[in-house]
Amino acid sequence: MTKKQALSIENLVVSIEKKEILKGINLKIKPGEIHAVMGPNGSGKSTLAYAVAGHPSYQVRRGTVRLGNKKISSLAPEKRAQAGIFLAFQNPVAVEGVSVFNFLKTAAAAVGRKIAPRDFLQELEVAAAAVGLSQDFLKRDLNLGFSGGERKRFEVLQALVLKPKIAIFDEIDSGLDVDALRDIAGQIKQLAQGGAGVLIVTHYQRILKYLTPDRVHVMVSGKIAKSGGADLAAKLEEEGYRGYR
Amino acid sequence: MIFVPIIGTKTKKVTLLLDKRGKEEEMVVVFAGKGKDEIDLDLSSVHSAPSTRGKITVKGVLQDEARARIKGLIKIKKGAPGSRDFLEERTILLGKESTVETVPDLEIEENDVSASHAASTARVGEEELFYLKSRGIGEKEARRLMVEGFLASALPVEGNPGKAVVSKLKKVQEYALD
Amino acid sequence: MIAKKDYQYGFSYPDKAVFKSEKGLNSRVVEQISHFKSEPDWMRQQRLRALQIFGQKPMPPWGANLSAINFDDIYYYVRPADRQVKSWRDVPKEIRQTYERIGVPAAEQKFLAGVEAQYDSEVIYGSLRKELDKQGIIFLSMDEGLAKYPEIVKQYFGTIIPAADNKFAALNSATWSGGSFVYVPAGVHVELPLQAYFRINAQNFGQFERTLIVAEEGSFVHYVEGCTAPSYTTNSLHAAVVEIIVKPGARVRYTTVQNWSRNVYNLVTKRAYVEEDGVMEWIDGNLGSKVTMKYPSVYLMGKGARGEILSLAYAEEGQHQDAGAKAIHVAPYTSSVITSKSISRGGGRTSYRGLLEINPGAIGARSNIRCDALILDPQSRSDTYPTMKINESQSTVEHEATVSKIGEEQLFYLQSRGLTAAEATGMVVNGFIEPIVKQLPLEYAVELNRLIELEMEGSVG
Repeated sequence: MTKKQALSIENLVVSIEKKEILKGINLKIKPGEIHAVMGPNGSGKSTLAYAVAGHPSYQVRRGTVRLGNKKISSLAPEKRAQAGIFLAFQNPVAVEGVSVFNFLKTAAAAVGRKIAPRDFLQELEVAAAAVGLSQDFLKRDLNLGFSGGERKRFEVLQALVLKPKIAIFDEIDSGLDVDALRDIAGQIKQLAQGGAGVLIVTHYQRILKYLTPDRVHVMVSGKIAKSGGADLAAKLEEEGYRGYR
Repeated sequence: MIFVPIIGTKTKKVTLLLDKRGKEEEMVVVFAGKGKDEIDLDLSSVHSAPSTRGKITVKGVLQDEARARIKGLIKIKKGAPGSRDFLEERTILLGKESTVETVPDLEIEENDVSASHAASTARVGEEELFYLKSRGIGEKEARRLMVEGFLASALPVEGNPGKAVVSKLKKVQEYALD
Repeated sequence: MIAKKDYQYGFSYPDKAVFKSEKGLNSRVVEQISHFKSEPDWMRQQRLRALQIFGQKPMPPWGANLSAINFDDIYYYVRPADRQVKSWRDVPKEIRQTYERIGVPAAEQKFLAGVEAQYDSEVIYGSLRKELDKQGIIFLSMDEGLAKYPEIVKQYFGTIIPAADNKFAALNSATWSGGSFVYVPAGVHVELPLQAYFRINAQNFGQFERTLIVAEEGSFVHYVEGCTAPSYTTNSLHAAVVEIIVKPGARVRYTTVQNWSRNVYNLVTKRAYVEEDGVMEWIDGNLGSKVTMKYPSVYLMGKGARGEILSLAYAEEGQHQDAGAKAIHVAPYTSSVITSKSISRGGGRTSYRGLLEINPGAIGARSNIRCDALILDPQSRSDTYPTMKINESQSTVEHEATVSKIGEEQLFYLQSRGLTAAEATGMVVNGFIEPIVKQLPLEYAVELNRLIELEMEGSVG
């Protein structure tokens, strides 16, 4: 990952099974910035995350997504990941028979990280400790039998290891206790400090107590109703989303 | 553990005989078929003594027009109380014309037992594929990871299967993927 | 079911049957049946053809032991009263008394839209409430249906289960009598469940009712049948056929709780064709009979069609419940769910027999099958024989089955809260079958739970 690049979303209209969910989203995330997209259930926040990552069920009807100057909204998901997009899933799926280590090794190679196996293993051990996962998780099958908290931590670990340009976290705070939340917020801050653009999708403002966003966007019914600074989040906590519907 | 690798057209019958008190046996079958291969498996676990333990795991991958017929049977006869058994038959269908017939039978004549089976057929999971691709892994590589992983997961989690088994498993994986 | 000490329904009335055909099966008997029903010629011809097929078909080489059935030793037709009655008062006294002992009148007032009671293979009581008539819903005996709506009957009769399907379908097609004809017009929802009871009274008498249900587009109907029969020392045969056609967007639920006495051979063919976006639900409870062979089926013919089959089987000493389900996926995006719960006790045997077929082209088909069996003691037996034929790779199938006894920890936990061993067992067994029981109409659910409790009292210590 050499050059840092901004994520630009322009007039993005996305539908799933012919139903329009995103009705024209405009958003720009510069390297090192932390943005939060907040909204009630059904507002389309997760759709935004999936659409940027390129999930096949989501059709881009109009508009574009660009990483730097490169248009990524028509690329296959693996090409987007190779370009530097990372999505931490809300409900990561389990893949039986694929070990965590094997998966990480393959993914790291796929995004172009050239690192000797022994160094890589050491890096993984450090990262595991940083996110609060035990060492033996490397041998386990990918997400198989992981608790909710373990899955979330593992998503964050992947972000640390794959070093993306843009990292999107879909409801990373759900199911985590206070300590875990604090740790993970710290990791995400480090990512941003390292130059990644970060997008946090959430509807509670729990994680925003440990991590100050540069911009907060309120999303309601597939549109961004209002954008502001970190204080907007506090306002939402007090007043809720009703004023924006 | 009895390990049975099946590559291409083959007919095979394997029976676990749990005929002495406390005996334990396990069978793992991995199969791969492609082209016009036809695979016919007849696997059974027969308990005739008390407190015996059996386990049969069958996992396989079919491509092109390959066909498989998997007949599995757990039979617990009278006089074998305290026995346990589990039969698992899972097939991934990679090719449009691949077909499988799976018949997991149970015949239980004692009540103080635990016997169950599970069978499933599916394609390679779309959500799983997307997860791997979202990490930059290409389609072919993602499928390879999943198919290899699926076949490898037939082996028991505990213990070391040994070099011989691992190399036989590799051959099945290679046949399934190329 | 019900402990040997007191078979609640073990009574019988002296044979008041008005006409009895000769024993045994031949073309003369079949012609007599058709003649007495004043049937159109095409039905008579169908019966005779079916009789031929019956003679040619062998007994099934699988399933329960049917060697004791002697086809020549059975009366195939009896007609107890000359006319069909429309209100309770018009039903002959003895027959009314039979039903009163089972408790039909009270239930009829509260729950039923119309009752057709079958006595010795003739429907003698039927009543259609004014609302049903107004909505254009037809609910008649099969005989009346054939007489009044021959064009509809001719269109569907035998199209879902032809005589050649199996030996007992052929037998039924030759000798059928009684059963229900239900027709629901497009868009109509029948609010109350339609219900019918069956009884066998004459010794060595066969029951061959034939039911046909046609649910037009977007309609809904719930049909309920439950039956009891008196005890005999010689064997009785019940070979019924139920054909159901679910048109696009329609939904049909067919609930059966069968509690035949221990000498009955209950061999039934039940099948539904489900068209686009249609839904078919079979709820099948098998408690009685000496032998039951019954596999309610759904043929998912149209895109998005769904089928659900809930099967409950209970077998005691001398009983073999060979029951299960069949789901055939023909069209894409179809789904099926099969849930089977069986209990065997005191030397009884339950067998789950199932077939799942996914045909080429049934893209996106999904199926989920779950069979659980409880064996309550070492004398009893349980089998599971599922067959899955997957001929379309773009489909998903999951199947799971378990066989076990009641866990000691569960029993102990309940006993530590003051329940006796029998009460605890009863509670666990009722919990085991709850997913199916909760789908039954209330009066069946209550009766079933009580029967289980009674049973368990005999089973423990």
